[in-house]
Amino acid sequence: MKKTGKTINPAHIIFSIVLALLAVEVVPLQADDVVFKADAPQTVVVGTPFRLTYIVNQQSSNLRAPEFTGFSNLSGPSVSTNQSVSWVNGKQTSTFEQRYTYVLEAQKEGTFSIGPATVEVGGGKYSSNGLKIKVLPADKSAKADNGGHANGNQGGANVSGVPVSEQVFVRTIMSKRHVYEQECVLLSYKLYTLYDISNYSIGKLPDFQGFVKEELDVSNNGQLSLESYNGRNYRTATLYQVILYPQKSGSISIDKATFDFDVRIPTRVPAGFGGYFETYQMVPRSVTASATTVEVDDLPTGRPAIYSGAVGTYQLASTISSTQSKANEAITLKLTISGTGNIKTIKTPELSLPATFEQYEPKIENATKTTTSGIRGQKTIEYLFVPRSEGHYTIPSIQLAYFDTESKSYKTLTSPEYELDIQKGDGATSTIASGANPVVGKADVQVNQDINYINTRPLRLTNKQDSIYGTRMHWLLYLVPLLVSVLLFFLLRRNIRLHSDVIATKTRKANKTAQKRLKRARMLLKEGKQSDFYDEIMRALWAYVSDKLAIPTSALSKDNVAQELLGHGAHVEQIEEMNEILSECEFARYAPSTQEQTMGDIYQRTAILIGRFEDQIR
Amino acid sequence: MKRTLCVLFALMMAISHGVANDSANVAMPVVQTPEEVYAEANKDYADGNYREAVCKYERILKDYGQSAEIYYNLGNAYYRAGEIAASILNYERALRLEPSYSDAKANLAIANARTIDRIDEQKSLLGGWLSNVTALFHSTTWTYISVITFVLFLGLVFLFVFGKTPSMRKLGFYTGVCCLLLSVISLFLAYKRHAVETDHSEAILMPTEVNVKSSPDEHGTDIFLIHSGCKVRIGESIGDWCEVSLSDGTKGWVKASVLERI
Repeated sequence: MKKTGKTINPAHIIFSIVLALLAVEVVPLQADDVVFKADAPQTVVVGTPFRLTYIVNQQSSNLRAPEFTGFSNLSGPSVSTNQSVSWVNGKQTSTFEQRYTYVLEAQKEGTFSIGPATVEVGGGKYSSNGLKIKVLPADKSAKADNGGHANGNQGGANVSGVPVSEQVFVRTIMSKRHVYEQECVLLSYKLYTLYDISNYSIGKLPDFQGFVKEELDVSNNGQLSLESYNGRNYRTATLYQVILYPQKSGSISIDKATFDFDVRIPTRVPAGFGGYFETYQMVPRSVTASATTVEVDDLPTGRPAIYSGAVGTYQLASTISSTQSKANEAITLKLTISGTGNIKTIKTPELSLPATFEQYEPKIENATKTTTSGIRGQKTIEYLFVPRSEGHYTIPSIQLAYFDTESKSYKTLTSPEYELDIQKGDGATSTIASGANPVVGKADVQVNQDINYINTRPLRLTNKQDSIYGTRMHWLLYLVPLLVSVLLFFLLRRNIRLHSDVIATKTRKANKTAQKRLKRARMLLKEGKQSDFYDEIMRALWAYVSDKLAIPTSALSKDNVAQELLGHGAHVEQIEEMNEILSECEFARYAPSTQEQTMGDIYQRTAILIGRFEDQIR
Repeated sequence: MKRTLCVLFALMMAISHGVANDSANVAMPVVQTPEEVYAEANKDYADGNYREAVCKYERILKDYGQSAEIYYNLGNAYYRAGEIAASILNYERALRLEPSYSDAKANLAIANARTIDRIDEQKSLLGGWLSNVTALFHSTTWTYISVITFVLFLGLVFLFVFGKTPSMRKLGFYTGVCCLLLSVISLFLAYKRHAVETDHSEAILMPTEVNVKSSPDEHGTDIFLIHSGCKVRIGESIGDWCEVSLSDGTKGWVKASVLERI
């Protein structure tokens, strides 16, 4: 006999488990760590022998096996020990294993339990785990034909005489046929085979119209389990599983699916001398799973007003970041909806806040896992809001209504109310991104457009026509200052002109005045009043210069007069002459007596000098 | 003779009746100051009785006088009552009295966003800037500024003419020129502002929708359709028809009764 290729059979499974155990037990064990366990296949067939093994990781004695009710002990216990020592990276690890093996055979079908066995290790007593073994009935035709080659292939039934469609097939299994809208239903495609399967692929799946689907991860690691179906023991495996949420009511049909397999069919090849080799043949086979329908009922009437499509079983919890805060500081209210059902599609419950609160778009997080009983997990909703003014506020409770699939009724969950005590904030600083939760960016702030509030300041009524513009008053306001200033202008002008006229006259009359004074001086000369004569001469000169130059007499002195006269065009000789006369007069005034002739001479010179000045000064 | 007597009698009755009515009217109303009415109207608004508030604001405007604030509040009350066209009209009126009223501007923008017609407004950059400057003060204020700067100018002319030193005269000259310029500019702005204040050629369309005709008669061709809240400029008028132009320059004729002048 020759076997080719990889087969899936229980013996191999046991072997791989043992290998796995070995791998685990490489870890160095202390003396106390006694591991004692029982191992056997979960399903067996009546009349087919199987192994039950007790494994201890220490030297043990006195195994006391339980009663094997429902099974007959064919052989055993056979004891084997296995010890290995290995050095890894200079570390010594040793494993030890002692196995007690029984070969049993089930006598009748049913589920039997094997109690724990006990063993003694170093004076202590240890007991193993118990086992539950399901015994399937023998195939109907098994007894007759199952002679030669069924060993080690415990579930392997003889397949001759079984119709092809019953040798390898895929069943469509629905967890429920009758569901409510949005209630989950599990659809599985399960393979039943009498042969070994070496390869499979999904050919075509239905499109699941009318459902929202969530695929499940089916990882069977190529392991098959035994199952009795229609009187035969098949090896089975789940090929594909999906959670379906019906989106409409009525009868929704699911199309058939196809799967492709490589089936290993044993064949006998003649080998001469009347004998034969048993070999396998790979046969590709396409299997169709039947179409099915789901009856979907409308959700019952009497739904609460706030109901928004949640179906399943849920719990509600909420926490708030703080209940005592300052104005303009952000507060988060965290609402957690956990449970099983269409949790992803639950609408965010409304949080109605006081009007002075600024509310932002809630942040929603889903943490879900798809299981065979539906989508399980939690939805976290974070409401962020900023109180804009101080005061005492109440955050109302949040309500979530859902249809409970277990009690077939609507239920409403209510979160607690929160009392907020908001103190006056610091200025206008807005701390939206507060704490560890900087989730709201500027773009998330949505200001609803609404009109500003009415004006409530005191009233200032005006009459219809109250603008001063364009009125007579307006133009008068220009005209009056203009007229006033024009008047003022002319007055000032005249005043100045008059003033300058006085000066001009003075200048004009300077000669005349001087002549008058000279005349008087002459009189004084004749009278012989000496000092008065000189006085008059000096006065005449000074007055003349003062009038001529329009400089007050008080501002004139011997020092500056020369300069001023020069500036007005007088010649140097005349200025010197004037100075001479003045000093002579001054001298003569206080002299006891002077000649009459000298006085006459001075008179003459002064008269000539004034005449000269008259020509020069302008 | 008898007839004349009858008529006389009837007349007398009517007069006496009228007098009686008048005396009743005089006795009836409780004398209210505009401030009281205003406070009541504001309270109605706060309580959500927008219609009542509208009536009271209208009464103040009719009986006592006007102010940008009342037009603004009235606009708000109309807006809350769902009459967008009326609210636009009153916001525009408030802005005519006080062009820099920021609340009124904001609310007008919101109300305008709820109207159906979107018309591109043709506004030059300089025009916008100029109207912003004009909006700074009331025309009276502009007038006073102009007058004060003019008087200052006159004083500086004196400084220029009779200044003792050249530097004083220089100062007088330059500041005088500045003051005169300022005076002229503010007079111009006063003129502009006054024109805005007295301009009643703009109007708001009140009915839900109106067909604008090509000529001032009922059988004229429909040119285009405008909806309530649309702002138009009134041109000439013939009979009870008037020519309107939209802010994008399109012109047509509508009945004067569909318009409410700002």
